[in-house]
Amino acid sequence: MNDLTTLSHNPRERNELDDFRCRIRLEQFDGPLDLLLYLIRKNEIDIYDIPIVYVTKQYIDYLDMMKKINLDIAGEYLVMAATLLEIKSRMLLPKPLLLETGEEEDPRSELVNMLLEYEKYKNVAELLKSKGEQEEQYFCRGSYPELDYMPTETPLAPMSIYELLRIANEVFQEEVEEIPDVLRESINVEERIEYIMEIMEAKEKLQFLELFSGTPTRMILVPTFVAILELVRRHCIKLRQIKQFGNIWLYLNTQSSL
Amino acid sequence: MSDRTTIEALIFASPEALSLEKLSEITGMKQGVIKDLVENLNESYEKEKRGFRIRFVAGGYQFFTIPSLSPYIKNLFQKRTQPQLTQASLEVLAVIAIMQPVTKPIVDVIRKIDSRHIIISLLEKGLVTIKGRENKPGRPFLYGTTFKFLQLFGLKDLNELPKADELEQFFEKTNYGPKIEAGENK
Repeated sequence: MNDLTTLSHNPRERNELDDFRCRIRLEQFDGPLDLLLYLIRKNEIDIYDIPIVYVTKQYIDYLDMMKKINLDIAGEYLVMAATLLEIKSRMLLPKPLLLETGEEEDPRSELVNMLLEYEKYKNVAELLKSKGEQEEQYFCRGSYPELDYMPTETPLAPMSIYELLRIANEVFQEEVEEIPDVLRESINVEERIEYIMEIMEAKEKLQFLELFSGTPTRMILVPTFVAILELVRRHCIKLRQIKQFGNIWLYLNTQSSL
Repeated sequence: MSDRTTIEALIFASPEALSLEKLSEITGMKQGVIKDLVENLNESYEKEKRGFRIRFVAGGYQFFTIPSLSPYIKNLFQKRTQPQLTQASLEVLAVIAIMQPVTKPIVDVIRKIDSRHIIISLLEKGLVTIKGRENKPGRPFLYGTTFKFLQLFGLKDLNELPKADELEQFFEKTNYGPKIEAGENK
């Protein structure tokens, strides 16, 4: 988010943005409360006596600016804007609201509690961050980076179908070029199943990515992936993985046959 | 062979953090005695200017190199896979750590923004896990932190973090939070 000027090619607009940047520091906010808290702290506002008109204006200015640079504004930011405007209008009304104790209810109190509650957890996040940084200085025995290879006798963890889908997605993204229509071969799932089983019977185990090496087209990728899923469903093969995001290995399931 | 030597050897040989319970079970020594022996070992490492200490992290003892040597160790490993956590991830992790077991709606209420993607990424990183489901409409998942979470932040256990109702007091003592006059507007 630091290099905003590149987003706007219109010089006049750019100046406006620069101007904005002088007044409001651009930052990636982690939610409406984060932004609100930032505005309050920046302006050294007493959180128990928030000048709601001023803060609401600043808040909405910020949202306008996000819109101007075509950033998507999460719906939650707009909900907060509505809340602020509601509080603002309630502040303008005469105050008929009396609590049982005879005290007036401040329309801002709910907002203040929200902010204070959120700030507590923001502090915990800071605490965690500093603890994490400290911990980076310590290395325990055997903390070698995990090696992504397949040792012969490593017990492997079963992997989830979601992990498989994620990796499949990666493979699909790697696809380089679409082959023109005329060259399209039609490969069906049954053929791919036979192809995989042929390799598997020869090799017993196989890396998932090996099946997708080269620059295959979607016409091959998809049936191959479906074939793998089908083989797992038929208990013909098993999938194993050493660690999260590691290589996936296909194993022949010796207890059953096609 | 002294008891101290035995404890040292056991912690050295163990591939992962060794709990007091396990040490006590193997050696027949009382946990309090083991604690003292470890302290004693660390004192002698200190005296001898050794490059390592025994630390209690995530429920057990383990040998760690001392922080001042980290630049060298980092060069040894060159790239260490460090999950980089964003500010937002840290916030979600903070809420889950303090309030666990906790549902996503509660996390969202505190942050006033949807935390779905962040929770998914924390699940993928193995820092939070699903602890069960809440008996409420929709039976939402209850999330909690993992062993890996303790390791990443070098925490002995979850008691090292303040409880939800102690947070205000906790941060008043430290410099993390702004000074707030308590009791007002409550």
